[in-house]
Amino acid sequence: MLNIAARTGAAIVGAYLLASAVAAATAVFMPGSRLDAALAGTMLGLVVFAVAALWAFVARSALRAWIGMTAPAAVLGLAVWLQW
Amino acid sequence: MIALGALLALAAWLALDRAMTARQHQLTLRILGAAALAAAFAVSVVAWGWRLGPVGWLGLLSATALARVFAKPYLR
Amino acid sequence: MVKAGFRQTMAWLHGWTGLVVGWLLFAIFLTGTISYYRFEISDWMLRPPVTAEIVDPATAAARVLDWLAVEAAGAPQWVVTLPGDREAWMRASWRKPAERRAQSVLIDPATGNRLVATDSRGGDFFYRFHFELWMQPIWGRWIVGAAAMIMLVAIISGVITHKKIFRDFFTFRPAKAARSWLDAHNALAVLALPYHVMITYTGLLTLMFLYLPAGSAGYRFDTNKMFADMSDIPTRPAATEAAALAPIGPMLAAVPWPVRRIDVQRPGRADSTVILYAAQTGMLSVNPGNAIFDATTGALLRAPLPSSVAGAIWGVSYGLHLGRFADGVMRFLFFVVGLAGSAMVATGLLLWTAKRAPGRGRWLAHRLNIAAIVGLPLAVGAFFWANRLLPADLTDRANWEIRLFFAAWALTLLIPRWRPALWLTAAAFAGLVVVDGMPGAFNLGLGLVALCFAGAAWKVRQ
Repeated sequence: MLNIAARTGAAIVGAYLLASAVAAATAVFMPGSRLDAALAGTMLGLVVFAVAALWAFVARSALRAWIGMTAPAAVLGLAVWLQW
Repeated sequence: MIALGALLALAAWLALDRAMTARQHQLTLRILGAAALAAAFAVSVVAWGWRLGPVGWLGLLSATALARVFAKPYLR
Repeated sequence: MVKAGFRQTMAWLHGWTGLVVGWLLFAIFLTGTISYYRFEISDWMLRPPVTAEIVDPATAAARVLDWLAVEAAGAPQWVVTLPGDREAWMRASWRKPAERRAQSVLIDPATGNRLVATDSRGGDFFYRFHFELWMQPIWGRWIVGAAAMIMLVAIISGVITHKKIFRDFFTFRPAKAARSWLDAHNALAVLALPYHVMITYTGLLTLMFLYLPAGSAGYRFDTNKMFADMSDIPTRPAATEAAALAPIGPMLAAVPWPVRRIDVQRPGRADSTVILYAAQTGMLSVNPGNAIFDATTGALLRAPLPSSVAGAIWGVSYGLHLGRFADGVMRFLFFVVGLAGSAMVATGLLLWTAKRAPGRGRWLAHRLNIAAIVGLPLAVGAFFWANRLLPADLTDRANWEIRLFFAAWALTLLIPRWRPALWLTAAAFAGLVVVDGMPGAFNLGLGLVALCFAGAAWKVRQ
């Protein structure tokens, strides 16, 4: 039960953080116009959200799910922040 | 024109469905089915143009497939 | 959970995600499907007395703008929608600075004057409910967005779960309770899968900047700047002296496409601009083009620009969701597939309930199923009845129709069995055809709905 709750948390919060990080990173690092990068990043972010949420339930453990999402999110977020 | 497309799609589904259980002519039925699907695509492009044609084709495919599946048990 | 196999986990996830949002999702799906006939519903409910004279767009536009110069003087923006294939009326909207809400009225193209039509929201009610649930916009949109994202997860997990996707394609065994619901659910899901994936993902796209504002990182999260870039309207130096609007005819003639919408910014001022938006005939994208003019001189300020790749993808995706390009048969195909999607959600709920052991959970699910699956169509019938029965001069009439819709829907929670609910709905729609008495495609549609519900009432076992 706790396992499911933890994974659900990862599927909602973790996946959202990862999706946002991917969207932001794409928006900032994709070559070309700022607007195109924003569109592409956000569209991609939605896909990442769905896939990540799904993955939260098949990852080997709830902890892996959380780390698997928050770690890349943190790295991407840091990259975006440094770029500013 | 659109009606023709619907008929072609329906024919395709009938052929492909039959092909799944047929012991003879399985390949023939599959080829006919694929050909009918392609013909339906061509007809859709004629009816709706190159932009909307593919969208309409998918709509015809889904609508005819659904009609076929839900009517089938009642048509025996 | 960890021990379960991949496919079992997907099946489990599919079941739970479907259950969590199922009842809400059915409402979203059905009202969205109904919205394919938004203008036809508005026509039936408002019955605007449009003069049957063919007016050329330039004349009609000029008349409305003259009317707006009197009625909406001082407003910072006027928006005029020209008549389309599916609506004979024009629409004029504006918001006076002192007022909180925008005004939106129907205009007769032949006279340029306001149409005195029934005070009703018409089809726009279903359209708005579909993505806002008639709540505070931000709340409603977030709830619908969450449901849509969960739907996307349900679709993906459903596809993974379904092993024999092609063989089971054509299997439907009726009258076998859970087995039948499963067969129906599979068929409805798989046979229209391209549509379900498209409509769910593009639905999220339409409000994606609300859901994922992080995408505006390139603009340092200044979404206003991003939206300004998207609409690509050049800013002009302010000039507040009064200046009259140049004739609209030459502007309409200057663009290579038929115009759908005229947007006048800062009308009456020297720095006023007119933006013409192209009609979406034969084009998938919602942004087939726009051109910007100096409103006082009629000079072209910015010619139509081609979309970038990302812009085109977004425009086409948005366009696919709205389906405004579709007419006649294609619109009907969209409607049919949308109904299939609604039925997919419904059969999923029915399947889940049928497999439940008898008890409190099953009883609750059963009652919610009735209220959601038949209750909503019944409420739609009640909405149409309210439209025909409420007195024309009732204050706040449009909102009363909506209140009655929700009241009827809530009352359906009290219906304990399928059969009475189905018969009631059939009777409601049949009665509408009789009461209205006019021939036409819309009433034919209502009659078909009545027949479907009557058929279902006849076939259902309890």
